[in-house]
Amino acid sequence: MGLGYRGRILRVDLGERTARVEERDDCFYRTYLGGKGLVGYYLLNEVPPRADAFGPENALVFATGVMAGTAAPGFSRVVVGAKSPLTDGYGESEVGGSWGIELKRAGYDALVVQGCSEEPVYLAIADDEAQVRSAGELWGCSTSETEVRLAGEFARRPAVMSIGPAGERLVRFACIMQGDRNAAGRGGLGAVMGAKKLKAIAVSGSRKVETANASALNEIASWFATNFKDNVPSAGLRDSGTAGIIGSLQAAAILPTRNFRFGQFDGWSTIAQLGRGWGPHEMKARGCRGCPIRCKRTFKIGDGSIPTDVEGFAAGPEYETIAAFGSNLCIDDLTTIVRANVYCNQAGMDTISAGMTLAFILECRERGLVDDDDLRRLDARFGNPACVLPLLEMICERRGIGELLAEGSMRASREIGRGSERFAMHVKGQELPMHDPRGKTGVGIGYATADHGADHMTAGHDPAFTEAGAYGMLTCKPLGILEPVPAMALDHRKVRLYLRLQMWWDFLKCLGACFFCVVPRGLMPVPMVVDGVRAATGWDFSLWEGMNAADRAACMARAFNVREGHGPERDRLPARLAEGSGQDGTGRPGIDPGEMDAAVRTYYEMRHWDPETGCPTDARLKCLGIEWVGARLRG
Amino acid sequence: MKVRVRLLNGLHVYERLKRRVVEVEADGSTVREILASAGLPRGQACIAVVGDTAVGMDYRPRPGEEVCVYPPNDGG
Ligand code: SF4
Repeated sequence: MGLGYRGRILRVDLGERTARVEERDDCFYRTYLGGKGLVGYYLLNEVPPRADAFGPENALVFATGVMAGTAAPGFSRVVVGAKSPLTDGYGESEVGGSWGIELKRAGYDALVVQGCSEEPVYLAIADDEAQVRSAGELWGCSTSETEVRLAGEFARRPAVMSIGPAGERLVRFACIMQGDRNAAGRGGLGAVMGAKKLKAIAVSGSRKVETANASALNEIASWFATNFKDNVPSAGLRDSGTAGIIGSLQAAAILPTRNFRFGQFDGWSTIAQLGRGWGPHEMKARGCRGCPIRCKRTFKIGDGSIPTDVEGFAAGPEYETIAAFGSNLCIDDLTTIVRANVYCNQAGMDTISAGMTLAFILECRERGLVDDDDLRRLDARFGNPACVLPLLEMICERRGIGELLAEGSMRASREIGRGSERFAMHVKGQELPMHDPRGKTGVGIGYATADHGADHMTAGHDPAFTEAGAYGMLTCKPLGILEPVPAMALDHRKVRLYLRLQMWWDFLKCLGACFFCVVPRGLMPVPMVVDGVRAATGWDFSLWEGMNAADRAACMARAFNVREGHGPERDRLPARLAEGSGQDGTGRPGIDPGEMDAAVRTYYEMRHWDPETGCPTDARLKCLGIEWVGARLRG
Repeated sequence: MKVRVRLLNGLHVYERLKRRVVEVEADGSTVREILASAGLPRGQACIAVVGDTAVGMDYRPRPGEEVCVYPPNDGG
């Protein structure tokens, strides 16, 4: 056993109903760190090329980082990965809560699940004991109900990752929930769990994580607890949760509206209220275990109209959900947005993909591309809150038009045809999150090139780097970010800025860090993160090593996709983003596809990837010490 | 007559301000100048809104108006 890490990976085969421990040495952890690094390593090594995402040969990986379970605040997120049924490529999503802490305390750094069970099962992990148990009675339960029922099976209350009915029915954007408000939302990983007939993973750990310098980690925690309240981004999150950005996105004309046709929504100030309260409902801020920011909102529900936790609180929506069911569907009815959020959490569906798939079908109907009884009966149109819940239920149950929509917008558009592909707003099959690249081109580079499809959490966003005095510029000098770049630039300066930020983000993903706790989105400075790794592991660790680990993780994810036959043709933004988002000339101009293609090529070159194919070069893989990836690429 | 500048999304914690609303005499200054004189360094706020309308940092608030300012937006 090492310090910071456990040196143990739990391997479970659901087909065989076996569990075993794989031991790993110090060199392995120093090379891959954890989180995203371990996900890439296991997916590339364990999942054969062209495997069926729903088949037994797909692997589902849950990985923590070397600071998980220590005093450092915000470092206990879990990176979940598998071949994605949404993108047919590398799939990845991160989730907060307490599950990562429990896994680490149980004695494991990661869990790799392979095979498929024939009947519903759940995985029970209590320290050294890991059992595959029957989940017959849990099948069909909501995620919250699953958690409550499993709590009774353990001596110590476990942390639970579970899927809802959407995952069981293989909705391609089903998510995995941890508790009632933390989602490994993206990529359809809940459907992979459903295909494995794995309802839940309950874990309870009782052993302290040993570190090299616990007092240094405690000092970091107490410094953070003292100072975060005076930090602008952290105070914003504490004040208004993630919804705090709605006003500024509206002002900048990049608040996704009407399926990204527009960038401003008349009801913006109404939906922005959800960050600070919801009518007469009492609001409580909640957060991940060990984090003082508590950026999540919950609302007291007195009348039983919405499922709640044991204290009577329902999870409030975060920004992505508010925009996906609000501005992007032209809905400012707060009850509908809250209910849609709770429904998706309970059913286990990604709110971003669900909202975007609804936006797609509403636009198809508006343009006369679909004529469907369900849509007619529900009066499915932008601005009609009454159609949202019934459509979500139909998706989860794969009933009526829901059967088509459960496939996600890309596949649905292929089925509908008639030019509807233009209105499916996705990259690689994964629907766009609620950030419009027409006001921040770096986000566009991220959407285009992310190996797991469109994602807003691949790097810091451009506006924090447009002026010398901006918080991003003040805090990111150790990353080599020294000159501001205009938000709409799309030349080599923007690619360089994006790449430096993406490498920092990937390093943080290898650590299982929450982006809201560290610069440029939070308080903790770059050197303190490096000091945290040193204190946890005892390594004479450097930022350079962290960036190398990040680079390895990115190369492995890319190699996974290249091996699937995916190339630069998938690194493209939806055609709509080439058009302006204007209403009366107030919107944003479109992004020129030729300029974006050139930026993507520059991105490959800066990464030392082949500029024609986007494949990591042999020299780069050798330089990073992962030449084995080249052998995987050659089959 | 004064103008009110409301500091949103965390800007109120800035060291030298520590308040959510800055009140200043409407002397024709721009939002940028008002914030600088109140102690908010350049670059910390980048978006200004009056009512439902984005006005920009070079806007000169009129007497009695309330301006909301936000830090640079980022990922949710
Ligand atoms: S900032 Fe929010 S998401 Fe991040 S660790 Fe804290 S509570 Fe969790």
